[in-house]
Amino acid sequence: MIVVENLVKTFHLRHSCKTAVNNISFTAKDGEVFGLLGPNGAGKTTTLLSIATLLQADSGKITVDGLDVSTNSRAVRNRIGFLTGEMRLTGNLTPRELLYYFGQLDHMSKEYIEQRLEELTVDFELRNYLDVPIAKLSSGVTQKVSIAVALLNEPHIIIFDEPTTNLDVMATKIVSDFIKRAKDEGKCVLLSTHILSDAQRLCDRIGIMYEGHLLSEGPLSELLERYGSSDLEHLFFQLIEGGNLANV
Amino acid sequence: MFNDALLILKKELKNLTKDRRTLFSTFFLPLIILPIIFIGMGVVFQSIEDKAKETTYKIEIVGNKDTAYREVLTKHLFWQEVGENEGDFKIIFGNNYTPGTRATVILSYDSSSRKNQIAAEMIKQSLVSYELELADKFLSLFNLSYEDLHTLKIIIDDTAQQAAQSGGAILAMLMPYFMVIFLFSGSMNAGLDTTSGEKERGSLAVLLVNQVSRTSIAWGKILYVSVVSLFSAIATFMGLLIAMTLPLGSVAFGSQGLNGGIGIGPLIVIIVSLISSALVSAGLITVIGCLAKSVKEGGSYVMPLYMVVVVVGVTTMYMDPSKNIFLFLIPIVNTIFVLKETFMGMHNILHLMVMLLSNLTIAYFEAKGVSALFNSERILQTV
Repeated sequence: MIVVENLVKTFHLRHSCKTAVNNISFTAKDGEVFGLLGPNGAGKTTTLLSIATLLQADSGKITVDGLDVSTNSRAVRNRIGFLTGEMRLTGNLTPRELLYYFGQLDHMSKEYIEQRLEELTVDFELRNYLDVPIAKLSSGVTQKVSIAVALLNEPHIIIFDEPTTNLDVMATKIVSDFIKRAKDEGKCVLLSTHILSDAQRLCDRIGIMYEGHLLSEGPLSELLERYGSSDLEHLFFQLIEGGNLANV
Repeated sequence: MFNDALLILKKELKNLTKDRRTLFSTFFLPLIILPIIFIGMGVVFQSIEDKAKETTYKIEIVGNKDTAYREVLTKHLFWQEVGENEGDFKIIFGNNYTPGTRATVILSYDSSSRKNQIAAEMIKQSLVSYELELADKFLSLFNLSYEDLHTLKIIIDDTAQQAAQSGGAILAMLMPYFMVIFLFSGSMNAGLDTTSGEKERGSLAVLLVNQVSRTSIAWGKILYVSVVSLFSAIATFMGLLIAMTLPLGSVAFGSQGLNGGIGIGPLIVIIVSLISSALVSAGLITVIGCLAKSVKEGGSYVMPLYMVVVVVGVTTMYMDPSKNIFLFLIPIVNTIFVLKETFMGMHNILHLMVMLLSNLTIAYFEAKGVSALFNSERILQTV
């Protein structure tokens, strides 16, 4: 379970400061998919990076399975699988070599790496691509390899930043199926997306972010009812254009 | 920690060895291109010189009807006497010259051609020979010869080390320059790609979420860039050695080539110097790569430093090995001077030690800096 309480993160630029995340709180429970929805610059990625121990919060508290990320970062990293939307694997290593490399860095045994390699190959239909240099793979297959890398350590917490960006329909389905399966296995999945249909289809609960603020969060049906919206798209624009910042 | 760093080094090298283009441009290009450049230069120099010796020059001789000079001139080059303003060369004997009197001789020619420069040298030699012949004739009136005026026999005893005499001086001039240039440029691409490149591609974040310590990642990256940088410099060294060993290549160096080769001792000094310099260079580029938000930005920071290295290389090219100990504290400069000393057979343990101490200290602090950057949020900043 991920618990974010009053998270604030400010970036100090050369001539100014930008508060990317401004006092947000939410909880992503085990066995559910929590989606952070928002336009570019809303603070979704900063929130995910903070949870993944890659950024340090200015204030507030984040716990992952009860572990404080600021004091137990290594233990937290052991429990999470993280994938950033910016990740573009390239180079001449094959998916097999890359997965071995990350497994060895994670101090996994050879047998365990072999086992995980087989499981992920089946999960993401990578059999035909395992020994092809990554530079020669399509963007969809490359994205599947990236996800496989993130899931190599069999994490209990899965954090995906824009996981279906650049994927074709077939690859998107594979990722979506995986997310649903992970949820069914009782894992906690936190994902960010700006694709509304993905959020509607995959997420049990949704948090809508805009300019660093979490405008609203809850199960989709509840949010629609709360704001009298017909669908997620309507709700989304209603929240970010309707001056809801004044209420947060 | 060291095992993880080695694992990162191994992965990066594996990736590099599979990339034929990078492999070629980093290692094989200097190995091939330098011999080609110097052999090409040698071929051109040799052919110009041969052509200059085989050409029949049109020469106008003014103010000297002496056939003796014409005979002397024939001994030095092929020529044909031509009329007024028809020649490539004009030799003007002034002051109403008659053989044996004092006169000014003007040699007029177009020096923009290398062939003409060589011919002019041969004509100058012919004038010196002619002057000697006239002097000999004059001295014979007093039962003397020109040889009788030579009371001193001058013998030059070159006390330079054997290495300096047998091509080492040329190596000392060119080799350090090329080696530090390729050493630095070798680390530029690898260093920026493995830091700001990974940052741009988003793969660094995944690496940082791993269980491996940030310090191990930093060391792994520095080791990788150092290895690439070192091998780039070694390829340059080998390329220049090949160029100097080949007959046509040595013509371009203006020497007899490299006689006697390089001993094991100097070779060890060269390798040790390059390793220490590669560590400094790799550390610096990696720090810059960590601070830069993109490869493009990193490139704009590194390029001025590359220019500094080029300037240092050029300005020290014609300098003699220095005894100023402070120069051996400055990275790159110290490597150039230690290499110069080594190629000239002037081994100085103190200079070597000062260079190693200075380079390794700087490399250590650079590595600490990289490690600190990997342990901070700054490593992920791309905007």
